[in-house]
Amino acid sequence: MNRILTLAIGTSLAFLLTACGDEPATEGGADTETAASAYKPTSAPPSERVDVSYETGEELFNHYCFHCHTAGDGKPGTTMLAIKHGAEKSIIKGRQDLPAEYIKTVVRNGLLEMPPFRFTEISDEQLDLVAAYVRTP
Amino acid sequence: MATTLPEGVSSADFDQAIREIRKIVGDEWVFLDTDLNPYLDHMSAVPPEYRTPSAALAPANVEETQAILKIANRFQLPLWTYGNGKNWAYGGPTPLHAGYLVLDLKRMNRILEVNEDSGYVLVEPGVSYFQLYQHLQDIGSNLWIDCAAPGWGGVIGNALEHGAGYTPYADHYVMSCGMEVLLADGSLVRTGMGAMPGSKAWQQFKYGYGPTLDGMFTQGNFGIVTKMGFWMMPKPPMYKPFMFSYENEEDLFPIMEILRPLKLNMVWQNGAVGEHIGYSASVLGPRSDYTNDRAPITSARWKEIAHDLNLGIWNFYGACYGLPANVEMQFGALKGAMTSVPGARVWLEGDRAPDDAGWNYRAKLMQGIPNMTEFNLVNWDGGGHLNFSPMGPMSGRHSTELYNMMKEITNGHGFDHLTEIVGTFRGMIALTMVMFDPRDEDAAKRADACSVDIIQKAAAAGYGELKANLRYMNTVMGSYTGNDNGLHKVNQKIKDALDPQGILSPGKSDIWPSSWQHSRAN
Repeated sequence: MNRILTLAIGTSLAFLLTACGDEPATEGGADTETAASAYKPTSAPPSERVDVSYETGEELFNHYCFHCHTAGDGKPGTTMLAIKHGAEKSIIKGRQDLPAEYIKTVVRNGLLEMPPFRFTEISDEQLDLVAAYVRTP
Repeated sequence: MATTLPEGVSSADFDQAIREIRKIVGDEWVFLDTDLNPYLDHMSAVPPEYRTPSAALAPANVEETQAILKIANRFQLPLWTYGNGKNWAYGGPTPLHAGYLVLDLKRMNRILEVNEDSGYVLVEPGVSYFQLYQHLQDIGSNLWIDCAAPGWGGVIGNALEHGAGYTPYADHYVMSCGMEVLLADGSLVRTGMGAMPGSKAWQQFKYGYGPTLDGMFTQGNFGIVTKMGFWMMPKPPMYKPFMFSYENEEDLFPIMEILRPLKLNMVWQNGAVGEHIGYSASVLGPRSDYTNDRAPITSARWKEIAHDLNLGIWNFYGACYGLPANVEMQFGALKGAMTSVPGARVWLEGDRAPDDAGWNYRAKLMQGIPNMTEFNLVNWDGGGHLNFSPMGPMSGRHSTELYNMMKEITNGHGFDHLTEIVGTFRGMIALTMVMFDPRDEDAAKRADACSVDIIQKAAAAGYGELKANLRYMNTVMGSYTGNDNGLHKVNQKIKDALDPQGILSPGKSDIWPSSWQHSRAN
């Protein structure tokens, strides 16, 4: 523990010194001119108010499903489906073996690690569009 | 499903109230019976039926909400307010007690203003991080959002629960500016500069004149927040994410001693997120990828896992923001200090494998790009998960004590310790997840006992819990008992003054009006 304590006490002073010893990277290298342009004033008018809504099956899928259920690492739904059913069934987009009614039931009730989605998040009509989009190759 | 009515409300009165509410919001926005399935919490340590609401109501705007409040006051209906997101690990959209009506504000999802010049947005409670991010992208905004790890979260809901993100604007309540709040009697209040008719600076300055009330409407039940302003960070000229990894469990002590002055001096600009390898590994794969043994994973095995994943036992993520020359100077300071622990390694953009989900999602979050990757950890061991955030000082001694305590308690109940140590401005959170299979009765029982232990043992050692699943709200408030329950008593006096009938989320954070005291112990 002595080593750790000494190290800890020393470091709060040391970091300021080591800062000067490190070579700055070459990229950037801002001079006064680039600094000024980096922080130039904006003059945008206030925005219009926006009702957030999605209309097509694809838009809805991209908003509600994409982040868990598409290909690639870091997608929780794809990970879980790969564990349960193997890699070939892990991506739901294009899976025609999933009946539309099944998709809708899972969305409303949740399944395994997936939570249910409320009618206020996605309406029945929107869910029909999503189910059709999922089943489209 | 049999409907549990709100306590003390007759079936005739309930039906009459629902008939009147249908006229206000429309038939399609009143949910009963099996339509309430999406309002249940399937990830809790208790069966979802414990908290089945009697109805859910979804008003489209403030006026409809005011009309609902009038009816709720007349029939004494408890309304459990819910905005957006999933509230995962904390109870979902489900109310504290069966029979409450859920007031679902998701339809109030307008982005009312994006102000590029002053760098703020004004939003309604139904707006999610994904929605706000997408909108800013669509209009070509130069503003970043700061999002919680799950992108489906609500901008307002997260801030009201004292939630945090990963850019320098991480403390969402601190970065809020101006609220509009509905009180239980239907009256509408704007806080700060917003109280003045014609005010031009509601989202530019927090305080206005007189007492600052905003904090009172967070993590409680004194009002329904219907609009809230948030400061947004302009995209900096340069963004440089980094990670420092460390070989040994006991390195946490020197790391935190080194980190404190860096945070105090704002050299480390955003939250310092220190994942124990358990947390890192859980984002990268399910438990079955690492062991078949049901016993908690040992320190020796974690070391092997860290080696296999090319990570440390501790992995601290952060980023520098600003002009390139400043960023490089700041990073030099950070690197010099943080690598003074023997065995420390530095990781920058491009150093990790291109498909390293762990690095990739952290690099996104620290520049406000919402995603869902962290919830891979829910796949760890069956989906049930409860989150705890005991808070202590940012120091080697306290971080080590709290980390060891979390490890001992979770391992003692048969669970792996999935912990991350987060350095804030002055404090340190030992965020700990209890992961279990809710379909396994024994595991659910152990998770329940483990949760109470975490709250109570941490509190006994001086580390207070910051958030709670519905089931543990009174356990947490039961640890904030100083001065003869002074905090609890003043909360109750305020509740009695603003909402004597207990219309708004009775029992949230264990705050009840006097008239509801009989419900408190349940």
